[in-house]
Amino acid sequence: MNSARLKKTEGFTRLLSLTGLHVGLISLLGCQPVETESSKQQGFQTFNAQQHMRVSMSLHYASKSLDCEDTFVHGEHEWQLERAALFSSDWQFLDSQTNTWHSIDLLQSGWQTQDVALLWFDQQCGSESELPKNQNIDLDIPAERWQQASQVRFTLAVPFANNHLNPLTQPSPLNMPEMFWSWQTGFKFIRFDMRTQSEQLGSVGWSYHLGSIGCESASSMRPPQRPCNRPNRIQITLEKQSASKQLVFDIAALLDGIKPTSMASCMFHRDNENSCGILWSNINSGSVIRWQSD
Amino acid sequence: MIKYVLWGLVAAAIATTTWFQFNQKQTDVYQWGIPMGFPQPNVPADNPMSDAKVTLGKALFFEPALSGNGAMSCSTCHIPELGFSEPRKHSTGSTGEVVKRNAMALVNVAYNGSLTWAHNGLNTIEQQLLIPLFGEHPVEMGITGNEHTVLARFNTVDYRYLFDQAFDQPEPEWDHIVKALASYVRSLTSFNSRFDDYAYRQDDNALNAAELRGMELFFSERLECFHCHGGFNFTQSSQHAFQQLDLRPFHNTGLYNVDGQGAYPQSDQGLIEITQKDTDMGRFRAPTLRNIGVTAPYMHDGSLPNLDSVIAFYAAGGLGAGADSPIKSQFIKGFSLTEEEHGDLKAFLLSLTDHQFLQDPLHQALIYPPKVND
Repeated sequence: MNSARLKKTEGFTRLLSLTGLHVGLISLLGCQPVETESSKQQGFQTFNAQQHMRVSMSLHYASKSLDCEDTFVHGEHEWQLERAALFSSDWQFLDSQTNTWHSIDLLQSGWQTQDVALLWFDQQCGSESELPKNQNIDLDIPAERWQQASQVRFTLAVPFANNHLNPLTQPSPLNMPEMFWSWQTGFKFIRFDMRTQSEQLGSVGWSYHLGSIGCESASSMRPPQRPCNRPNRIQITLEKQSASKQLVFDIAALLDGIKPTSMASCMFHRDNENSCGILWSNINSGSVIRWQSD
Repeated sequence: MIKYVLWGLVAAAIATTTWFQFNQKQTDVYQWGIPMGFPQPNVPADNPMSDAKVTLGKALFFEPALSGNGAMSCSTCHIPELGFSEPRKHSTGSTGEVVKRNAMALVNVAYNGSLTWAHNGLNTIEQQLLIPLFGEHPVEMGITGNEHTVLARFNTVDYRYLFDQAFDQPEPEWDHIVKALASYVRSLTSFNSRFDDYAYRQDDNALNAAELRGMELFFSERLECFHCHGGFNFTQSSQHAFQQLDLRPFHNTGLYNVDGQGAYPQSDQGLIEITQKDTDMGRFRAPTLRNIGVTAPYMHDGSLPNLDSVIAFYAAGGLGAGADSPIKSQFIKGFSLTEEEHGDLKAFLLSLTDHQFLQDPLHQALIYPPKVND
């Protein structure tokens, strides 16, 4: 915000606070403060006061839940995640009574705009105050509406309309450098960086970065005017589950058929990235993101 | 009727009060030197920006009397025309004691989520400043043990006026000195490089063909530069009005590997010295690349003398045995560049220089500084 706008905003805010008008205005608009305190309950949950829905996601390797600094064995090697993050957008629910899909806005926070949410898993153990993480998606939908849903769907991506905007002026999380390629290609929708160490191999890092490619513009600092040739946006559709369920991102399903110690990372910059095709097939298979089993 | 008159009087009173408060506040709002479109940095609630603090902070920044023995000022190691960096490999304190690291450039530090080369606990400039001012291992400004002597030097008519303007209290005190210095350093914003003209002001002619080719290399997955030098400050740890999350990334670049396990020399092992976690061995913060063309030498210990050696270092995927470090960042893989590509990448890095910032007379020492006591 520039200074002039700041001044106006401060002045206006002061005017409201002086007159007490803000109470009336907010009531008229139907706005209510949003509960942001998380409860210990996992998966879907409602905020009692405001009736918003929260979806939680955890990382798994097959049936094993991966918490901070946990490792998993894949291809006979022990791996540790260095970064795991993914965007989602275009959340919708299927109304079982009308059999129509309805869009769901996201509650705005440092991890969410109205349209886009970022899941950001912590790879180091530490207190909440030390390390940022976000395993929740907060949906702006009343519980009674949610109860009518039979299915839910969302896209694992940043929409084209949000993907190539000036990062200077975007709200968080659409200005996080770690997830941004460039104006031309936009964001990494999915980012997995992992590493293994052994006497035999030494230290080997492996990454999967998925985003739109084939985006045409004058340079990496200019946005494309039309959709990229390979948007790489994946829509996930799931049956709605009970409130105690949480989503699982299964790394074993993602890496099925991948030998990271002998296959190149998939970051879309080399011709010999033979892993990209397998990963794309896996992530579209419906087994990578699923409900936690009972 | 009386009811309407009373309501009218109340409304008039509110409007008048509001008008006066609104206008009074206008003069208090600090005017950042930030071009349109760039977000404002965060400022600690207990030290809001003001012109008076910046003015006092600038005078203190260039004032040798702020050091214990009067031998050096902040500007001895943070030289304005070099982007407030220093040309020496490492700094030397006021008593001659060696400081193990190269002084970082003071460019857009207001946006930094973390400060100095490798520390995850310094969140504000006010906290960080205490190290060069009061640190004893090594001694930099050397104030510890000389607190009263140094403070007395600023009890002059000139400085009492500046302190009074900034803090409504003429007597110098350390809390106010730290806050004023922090405000001055926070005011040093640089967004007028030719790259900014091209990228953020959309001037297609701001960069030449070689610089544009270098820019594409910089942002390519082949070179990976932007993975660590990302965002508008070319460092991942930017926080501002639109970004409050502190991701605190630190990286091991494979500069050293003294034991085959990735260890850095005992003299400086990076973030591990603060956290005591093995995984933080050799990890340092990616510094901004703004004005990088004038901030040689490079790396935390100033061990790489110029941009050519830096590009060669990353092309090799590390330095010497460091290239085989098992704990270096996986984005330091090495790459091969043709001679032309090397030149293009260097040309792009040089386009990040903000000549307007470096030559701004406002960033130079005052010709007639406020008087201090001997």
